[in-house]
Amino acid sequence: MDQIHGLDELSRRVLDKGLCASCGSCVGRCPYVTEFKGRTVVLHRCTVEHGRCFAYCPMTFFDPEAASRMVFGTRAEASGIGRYEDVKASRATDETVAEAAQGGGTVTSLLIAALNSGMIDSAVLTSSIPGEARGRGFVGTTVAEIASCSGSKFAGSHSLSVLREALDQGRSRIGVVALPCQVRSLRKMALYDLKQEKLRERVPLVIGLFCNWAFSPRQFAEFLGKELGLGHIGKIDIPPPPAQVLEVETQGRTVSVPLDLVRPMIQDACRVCPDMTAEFADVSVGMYEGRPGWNTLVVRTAAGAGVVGEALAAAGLETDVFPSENLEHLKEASEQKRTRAAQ
Amino acid sequence: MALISKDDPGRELLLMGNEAVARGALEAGISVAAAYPGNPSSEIIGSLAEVAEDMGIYVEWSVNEKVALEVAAAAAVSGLNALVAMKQNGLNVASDFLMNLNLTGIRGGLVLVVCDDPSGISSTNEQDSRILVKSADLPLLEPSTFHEAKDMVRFAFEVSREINNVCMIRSVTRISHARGNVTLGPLPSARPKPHFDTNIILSALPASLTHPTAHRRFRQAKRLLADSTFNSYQGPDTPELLVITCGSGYLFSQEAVRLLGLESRVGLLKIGTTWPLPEELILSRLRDAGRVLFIEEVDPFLEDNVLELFAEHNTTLPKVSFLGKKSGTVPDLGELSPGLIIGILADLMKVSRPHADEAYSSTATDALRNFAPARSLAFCPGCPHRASYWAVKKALALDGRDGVVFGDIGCYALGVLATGFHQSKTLHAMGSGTGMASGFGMLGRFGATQPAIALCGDSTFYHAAIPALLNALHHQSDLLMIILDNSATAMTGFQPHPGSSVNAMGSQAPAVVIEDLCTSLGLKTVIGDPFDLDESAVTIYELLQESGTKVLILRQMCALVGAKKGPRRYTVTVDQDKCLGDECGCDRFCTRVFRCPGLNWDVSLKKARVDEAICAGCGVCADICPSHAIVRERA
Ligand SMILES: Cc1cc2nc3c(=O)[nH]c(=O)nc-3n(C[C@H](O)[C@H](O)[C@H](O)COP(=O)(O)OP(=O)(O)OC[C@H]3O[C@@H](n4cnc5c(N)ncnc54)[C@H](O)[C@@H]3O)c2cc1C
Ligand code: SF4
Ligand code: SF4
Ligand code: SF4
Ligand code: SF4
Repeated sequence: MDQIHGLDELSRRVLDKGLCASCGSCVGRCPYVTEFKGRTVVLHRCTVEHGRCFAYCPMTFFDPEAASRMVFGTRAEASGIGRYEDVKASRATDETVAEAAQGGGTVTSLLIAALNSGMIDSAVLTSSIPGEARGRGFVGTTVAEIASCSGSKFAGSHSLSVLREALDQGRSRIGVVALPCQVRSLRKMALYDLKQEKLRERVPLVIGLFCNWAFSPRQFAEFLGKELGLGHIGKIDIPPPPAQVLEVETQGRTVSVPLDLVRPMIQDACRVCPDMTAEFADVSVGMYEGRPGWNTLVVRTAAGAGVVGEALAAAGLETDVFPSENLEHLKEASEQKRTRAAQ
Repeated sequence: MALISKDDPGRELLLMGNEAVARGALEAGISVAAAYPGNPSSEIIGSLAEVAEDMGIYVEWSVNEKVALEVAAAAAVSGLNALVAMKQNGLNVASDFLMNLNLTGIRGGLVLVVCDDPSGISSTNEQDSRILVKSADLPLLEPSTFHEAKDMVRFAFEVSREINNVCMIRSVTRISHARGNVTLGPLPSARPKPHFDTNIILSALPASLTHPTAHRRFRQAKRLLADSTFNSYQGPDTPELLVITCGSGYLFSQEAVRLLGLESRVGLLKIGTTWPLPEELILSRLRDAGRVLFIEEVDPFLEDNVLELFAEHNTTLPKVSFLGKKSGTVPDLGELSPGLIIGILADLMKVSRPHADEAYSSTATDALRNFAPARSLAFCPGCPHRASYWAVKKALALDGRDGVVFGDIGCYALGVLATGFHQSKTLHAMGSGTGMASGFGMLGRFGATQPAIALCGDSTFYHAAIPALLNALHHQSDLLMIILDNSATAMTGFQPHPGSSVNAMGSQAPAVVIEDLCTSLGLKTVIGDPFDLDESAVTIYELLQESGTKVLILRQMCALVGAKKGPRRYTVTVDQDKCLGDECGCDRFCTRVFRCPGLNWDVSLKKARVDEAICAGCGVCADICPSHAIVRERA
């Protein structure tokens, strides 16, 4: 417990330094921290010495060895894409799923299989806020609800704040789709579980997303609105290199914004985050560069293999080999993020 | 029938100092009385308002002190007797008019009673108003007892009529708010008919003519006061120590001398007419005193003036050593007390102090026993201000630009303290919050990014904030004015104000509706319910994102008025099984942060509970509890 502190220390180490990743894990647990229009706001001082806000925040501290022991039962793998069992190419077989998805619809397919098989009874997801670039947390309990959350929201969305909602509803098998920082937060919850909420058992499936960076929700919104004069933001896509643009759907048209223009809006937290492939997730899913309509699927744990198996068995997912040169390239990109973060 | 209007000359009654003043005004045959409420002066006009109909007088709670003085002056220039009362801060508001009225003078009688608040128990400052009276060239009387308070008012009217100018009376909290015996005098049977003599122009200009007139009237007053029986000496012919005192100081000194058995060694020179001084009387006593001690509340007013007099006559006077506030013998601020004076005298006279019991049984202490208790420094249970301040705090946090709240005078001034989450960042005079916010809202041109909020109550809005709001509007200052409308002048005892539909005398009156006034000015005006905490916070946030001058009225009845009007809205309980107490997830939010006195922290159980006797049943805390442990049911 000696490394766990309270809200004051969270403010000092994370919020005041602008290092909040907008994961949402400190939000909605108490009257002191809230999220408002994409910003994590402290409303009053709290005197609790060992608090969940500090303990579960991915940016306060992270013990890869403890997490690795818990998740994989082994020592941490501090290189490449972390520990994994298998890497595959994958995509949804269902056309409507594939259509709405960001990439190949793998994430949505896995969730549907997990729900239908009873592996999970609910899912903590990130739904879009109509007209806005940032998303918000959403607890889905039906296939339709899960499908409605397809697509990436490229600004921090505080979505883990609704984990509380799922827990309060008494859900006992909660699946979560999480960015790498959020995966870390979820693993810290399971490790420290300060209120003995059986968080390890109650979150049996963590699907991680690859992530190089996310936008700071307030800055990004202000940029789109005030600088570019774009209203009512729809889907946002980042086409594979060498495009170097952000494609923003807005009021019936698509606007290409050079990446260099929006880079300053990237959260500072992402610049110091070493994890590109959600190394502590059960499965991680990213884009498949060079093969549109497909995802990269990294299976890391038995639970991860289990959900992939369910999806294949239910014929919701198809997989293909992931060539070794692509894997090398992925590991390199992942290493680069690790190196950048260390600087 | 109310006590103060009893037509029973010779009868002794136990009256509060302020009631004694009111009775004195009735005996002097006033026609008009006006005031703006302010402790410790409020009961003067309050008690006159109660008997207004019976006594056939006109009483009003004016919109502010300056207007109160103007209303009374109109009666006095028309030949009537009029009384005006205010607290020390109020005299500042009225002073602009007073400093011109003193030059034109009046034709009837006008007595201005100002009640000082030593220690600032219910004030922002503890200003000594006597200094201002001196520069106005007006006569000043200071009562030491309750009976004297009554008789002095009558005498003040005589002086005022005689010199054709205002006569002032200074009271202090311990005279105004304590009770003592008063012997009633006769009440007059007839009042003059008002007439404004249009042959004479009452213009302060040109000062070259009016200033000399004021001086002449002042010299006239000096002659009238010189032999006043309100000044007296008791003690040996050549005392070892001469105590020169006035007001409450006399009461305490007399008691101290008696308790210490110093009657044969210490002389007491009581001054009732503190300005201009009864010079002959004082000089004659100084001739026989080697050592003088001044006892008075707040500033060394008497002390300075006597020293001045001594300096003027130093060639004919023996050596005297003066002790008082200047020598550090007496504290130069705060209220005095019998115990304090006993200590000072015992040290100076080298006698031992009496037992505490004996001191306690002193009559001075008795007289003070029902002295009004100091206001507690927290909002009442169920007070809407607590909710409003939380909404403001939350809105400013959500906004994140380090917004500034310019506070104002009223119960909500407590917003500078923990009970208002330290949200008000300035506190000065009535209406100053809006004036300062108006100025701050212009600083954007220099790069200021902090939004400005002006907070003010309904009564203060009418009193002095309207001109500041007009200023902001006209100059397009970026500010949000939040009017905490609890529909009462709660801090001073629920006197009606221009927004009320009844006046001081209880008759129907047209209400000036704040939102109507604001919208008619073209101001964006929003009305909210502070008890709806989250919505209020978001409304404030949204208004702060807009430029220009905006008004938000947070309206909810004062908890004390609510308690008078009807039963509680909700029955509120804490489900202790759900209560998280000081654990992570709550950290005693209700009792540590929100701090409604209706909620208690049970130290042994480590749970919150509702104190049924105190809870006002507003139900707001049910919305702030993170674990939904606070349950409210419609009562
Ligand atoms: C901020 C961000 C940055 C990313 N950066 C990269 C990258 O650099 N390289 C790469 O290969 N892939 C990246 N991805 C992942 C990629 O965009 C796809 O999400 C991923 O390939 C899965 O695709 P899919 O078709 O299976 O997802 P879908 O089936 O469309 O499902 C998307 C899922 O993502 C969740 N989600 C959406 N937005 C968020 C969010 N902001 N936070 C948490 N969960 C969210 C939804 O709940 C939904 O379940 C990023 C995703 C995000 C949100
Ligand atoms: S320690 Fe607990 S109660 Fe305090 S701010 Fe953090 S999460 Fe909230
Ligand atoms: S990173 Fe997450 S837990 Fe940490 S401060 Fe930001 S929102 Fe809270
Ligand atoms: S706010 Fe609620 S949970 Fe917290 S101490 Fe009060 S009653 Fe208990
Ligand atoms: S209901 Fe709650 S907030 Fe209102 S008075 Fe009672 S204890 Fe205080």
